[in-house]
Amino acid sequence: MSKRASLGQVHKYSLPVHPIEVPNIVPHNPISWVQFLIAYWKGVTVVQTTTADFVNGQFLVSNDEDIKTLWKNGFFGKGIFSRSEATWYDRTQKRLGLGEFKNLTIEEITAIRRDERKKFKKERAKLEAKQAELKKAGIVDPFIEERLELKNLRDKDIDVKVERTIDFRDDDQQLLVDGKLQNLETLELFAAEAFFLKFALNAINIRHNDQPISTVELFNKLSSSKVDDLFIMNYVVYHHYRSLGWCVRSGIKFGTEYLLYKRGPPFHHAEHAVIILPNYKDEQQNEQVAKDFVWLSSISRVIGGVRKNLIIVFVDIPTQEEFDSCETLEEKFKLYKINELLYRRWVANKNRD
Amino acid sequence: MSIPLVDQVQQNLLFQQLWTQVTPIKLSNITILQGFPKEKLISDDETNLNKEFVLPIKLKDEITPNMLDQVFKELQGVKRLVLGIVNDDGTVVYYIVHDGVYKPKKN
Repeated sequence: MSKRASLGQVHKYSLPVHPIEVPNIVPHNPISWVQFLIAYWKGVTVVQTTTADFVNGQFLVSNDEDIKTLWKNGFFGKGIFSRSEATWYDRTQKRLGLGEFKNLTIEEITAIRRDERKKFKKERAKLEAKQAELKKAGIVDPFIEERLELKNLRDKDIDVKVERTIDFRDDDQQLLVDGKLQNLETLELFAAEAFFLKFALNAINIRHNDQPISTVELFNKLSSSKVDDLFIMNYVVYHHYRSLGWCVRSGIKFGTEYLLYKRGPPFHHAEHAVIILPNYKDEQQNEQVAKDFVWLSSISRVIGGVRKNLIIVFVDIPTQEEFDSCETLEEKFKLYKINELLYRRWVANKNRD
Repeated sequence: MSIPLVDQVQQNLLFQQLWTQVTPIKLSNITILQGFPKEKLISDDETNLNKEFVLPIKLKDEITPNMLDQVFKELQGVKRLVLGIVNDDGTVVYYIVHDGVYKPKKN
């Protein structure tokens, strides 16, 4: 089985809620209709419930099975010692020379690539020094071959070493209990993620001081009762994109609120970066929070540099009275509207399409 | 179970970034961390593996030049600081702050 196909199998579902599976209907075959109806009536929506602890503003998942479930079903959460998927235990086992050889984690692949890049830079620096010397002496650069070699080094595919070097530091002693590696890594959910799993999917139990916490209690802890509360705005946007099937993850690395992935991080790079701004009914209020062009330009250039689209999401903010008059959270959230704007730098003499 | 800010950055340095001998230092107003990175922080550094200093902060914290200046003053002679910025999804991102002007590194 190819890697892609198996990834597709592992990440078959985009949320920890699995729909009923029904067979295809063949119009001229009544038996298939019956099969469809039976599957439909007997089918049960599967909700994969997990548990998180909410302490000091952090949502932490420590059960290994729960961590896997959240990652496999829609890429929720982030390993606290990993780039995204919680791979610290595997990486550390290998680094300390414990356990068996497994596939490389993304962090390891990146490390190899950076090593290669470093080698390239070193060679380039050597060559440049030679060139500078000759230039001083007034000789024309004779290093055509060297430059070619350098180019090859730059464009070379990365080698995956199967042999491992063990790197055991004094600091690692504390990780071992009876010679076995303790898993220090937990999965952390950001507030909108945790609240989505709870409020929208009811697929997570959240404990606060070892007691289960209800959706409304959680909402009150995460937000003020102000209509333009930051958590509410972020949540509304998160919910919007998750509902449309996007995989939404934190955008901190690029200075934005969110990144949108078509399916999830292992499949493609994120295509879109999202920043969130309020849009009040009162224009004076809008003027107060308006950002200047320098701010927008700097974000836009960073996002352009990593080849992503920049989406500015304006959240229409209802009035405080409208907000307060709603009884349920559903009603409150329904008051907010989403407006999207794709922002792109356009250079007149370059971008002709 | 929740981890205080300084510990969070310390653990991240030790076990994700693989720094060694990472220990807290108490300054008059804040606690920062010191330790040795796995590799040179800036490839153009002339000396090998220096002791580095990390200031743990939260993403929404505000830092002022005065605050950084205070840290540099107390550390006497230290030329750069690393900000360890903690996001609400457990990510720690690191940025280097130099005390004064610094020649940009070669890309």
